Amino acid sequence: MALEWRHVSGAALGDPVRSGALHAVLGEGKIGGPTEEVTLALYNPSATKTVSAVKVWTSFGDGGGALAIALGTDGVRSPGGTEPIGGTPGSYSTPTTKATGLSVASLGPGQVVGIWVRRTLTGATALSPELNRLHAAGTEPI
Amino acid sequence: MTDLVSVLAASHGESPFSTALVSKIYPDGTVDLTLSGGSALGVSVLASYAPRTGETVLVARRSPTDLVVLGALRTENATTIDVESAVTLAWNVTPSIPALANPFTVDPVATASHNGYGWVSDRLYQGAYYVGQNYRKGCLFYGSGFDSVRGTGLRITRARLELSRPSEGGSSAGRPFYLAGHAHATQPGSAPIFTTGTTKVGSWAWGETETVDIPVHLAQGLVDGTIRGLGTLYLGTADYAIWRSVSEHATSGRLTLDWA
Repeated sequence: MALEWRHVSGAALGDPVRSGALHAVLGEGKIGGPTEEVTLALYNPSATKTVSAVKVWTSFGDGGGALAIALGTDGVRSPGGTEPIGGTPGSYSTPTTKATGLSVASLGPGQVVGIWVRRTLTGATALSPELNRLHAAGTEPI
Repeated sequence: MTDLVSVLAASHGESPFSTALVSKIYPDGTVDLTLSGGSALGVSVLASYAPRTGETVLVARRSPTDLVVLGALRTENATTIDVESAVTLAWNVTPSIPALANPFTVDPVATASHNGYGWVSDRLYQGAYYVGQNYRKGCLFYGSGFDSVRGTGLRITRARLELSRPSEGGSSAGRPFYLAGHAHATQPGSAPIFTTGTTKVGSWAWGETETVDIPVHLAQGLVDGTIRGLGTLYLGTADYAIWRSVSEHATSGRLTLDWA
């Protein structure tokens, strides 16, 4: 796999995000409940290949929970050290196409970039479960 | 000129390929090479390759002394492919808890007792006065009193029930209430269906009005909708007793609920 979504454990990479697993990233929410933010890592697991022209965007299912994403202010980096992956969130937005997605110039072998996910449930409707998707795409050498 | 087919056809021995650095280019197209084991002079080049000084090239050995340059060495294909990764984030969204006092109270909309054959009174009768009498089951109906909190995830931490005995019916001494949950928000046409076990709570003598703690799980069941009302379920005579109806005592059957 050329790009992986990972949980973040401080400055270290966590386990891969299990797609579709209930409450794997954000827990149960109540309509009008508090806004929540969580950091994920977009990771290039290749030992040799750089993924270029990386874009990150979202798509939404039913339910009406508002999702926004932001790049971590620490930028592209290698896991480890003492600073948590993602640092603090940059400017949040809600791109829904690859063309308008957040841009990451390139992810070198073993590098990560922190992606902040912000959930707001104002105006949401009760739904079990509400589904939303995070997308990442880029190009890499054959 | 040399072509690749003839080079490969002529090669013999193991691994005829190695890398070298182009150090000089001659007008006739041959080159000098720097190899790991030394240098080679005047080496021929494949027709498809235009050599450049300083470039790393792939070299084929046709014999121990006969080399040919195949072309520039590339470690990575310049062609790229699109790659994509997506994950689905899933979570439940539940209704918010409405503005609610803590504790809050819910009063029954009706009370009634059934003797196995029909509804016989709006009072809460418990058991039978004598052996052979039909056992009566008193019911508290809460109507839509829990609708606004159902499904909100509201967690009950303490539950209290108010009941009042008139100065008649059974022993004048204190008698417990055999509390159980049933399946009816309003009075059904037929006999009530109780859906939980029975718990003895409190003690009421004639004329007493008391508020007593009851098991939290019963109140939680009313919030969650697994039960819809409460009542007395007692198939005996020793603790036969009567409690006032809501029309006699407005807060009879009132539930006072603490929540988190």
